[in-house]
Amino acid sequence: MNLYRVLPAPPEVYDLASEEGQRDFLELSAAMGSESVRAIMVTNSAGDTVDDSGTSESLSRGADRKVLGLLRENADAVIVGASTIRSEPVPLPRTTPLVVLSASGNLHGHKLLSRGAPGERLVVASAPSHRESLAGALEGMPWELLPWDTEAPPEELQRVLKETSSSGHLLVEGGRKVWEFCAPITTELLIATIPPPRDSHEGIPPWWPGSPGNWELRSLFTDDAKMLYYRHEIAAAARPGA
Amino acid sequence: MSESALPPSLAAIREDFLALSVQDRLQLLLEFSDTLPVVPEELVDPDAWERVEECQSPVFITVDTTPAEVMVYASAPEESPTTRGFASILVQGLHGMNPQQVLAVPPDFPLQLGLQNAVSMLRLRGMSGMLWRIKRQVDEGLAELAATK
Repeated sequence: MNLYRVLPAPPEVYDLASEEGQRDFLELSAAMGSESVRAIMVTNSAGDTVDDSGTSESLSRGADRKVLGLLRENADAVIVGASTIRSEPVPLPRTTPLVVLSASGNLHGHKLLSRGAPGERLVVASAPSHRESLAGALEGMPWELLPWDTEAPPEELQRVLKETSSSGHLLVEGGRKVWEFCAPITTELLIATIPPPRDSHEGIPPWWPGSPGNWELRSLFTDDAKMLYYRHEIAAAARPGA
Repeated sequence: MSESALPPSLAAIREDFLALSVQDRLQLLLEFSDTLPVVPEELVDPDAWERVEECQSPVFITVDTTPAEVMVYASAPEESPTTRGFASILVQGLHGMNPQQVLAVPPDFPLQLGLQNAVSMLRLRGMSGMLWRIKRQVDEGLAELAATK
């Protein structure tokens, strides 16, 4: 399973089936600075991030799941929304805390799965008043509440999320509602797509975080399925809190 | 479909699923995902792997057919636990069965596991694709055996 770097030059091949290839890819895509909020989007050409089933299943191909898996393993916390854990089975990552953002406190019908691995950790960021409802929905599954005021500014969400994190590297996997909260604090955006996503009016998809001019394309990859991977970083002047 | 159409191992797997709640069926699927048998390299010709095009994830299967026994092998990425779980069910349910038992598995077997409300039809169609390709390879294997007699 190869990932081919197109930019920056020179071209490079990463064999993601090998430890060496994984290490080299992770070094290249290492989070900038001491903290980051990285988001990964799988899209189609219209910029849609989910299909009719409410998941990205039919949009996924090539090496995207492998890339996602590598980024998960190397993040301090993985962030998803209630819609994600309701729409498809989500095993708890073996070594990385999974943070579920829930503004409503309703996680009934979730499809979270546990292997019972020692490194599994489920954290729900929600208002403390939702504790009882959450406990009912998550019965039989160890979890912890991360108190979060959904009305607070985005910087407060980042501060809260950092409590789950040793070095501040967070990975946002998606969900429409989650993206509303996380877009303002995102510092790195990895888009996996065939072909480049374009909105028919503005030239960018509606979920694009902030002004396109705030973002710099740092690297571009492709794979054997001709998937394209665009890795953008937010410009220093546009970083949250800058 | 009749009960007798399923090989005993596949029938037992189905019963295990149906005895559980939907949430626990997903948990069982994850356990299957974690126990997909590793394929020893020396056992399989690298060129023999067939891509299961119905799956979004890169899933490959290959089958060795003898008159008495079918050996089923599959490869599926760990990052796709649902699809990998389906591959594992078919490998663990069909490996070692005789060709006639494999060919008799009804095409709607994936729908008999009670997972329709838990995973998408896209994923279930992926499992149907695996089953169809396994059976087609068994058919081809039997034809080759007949031709070499």
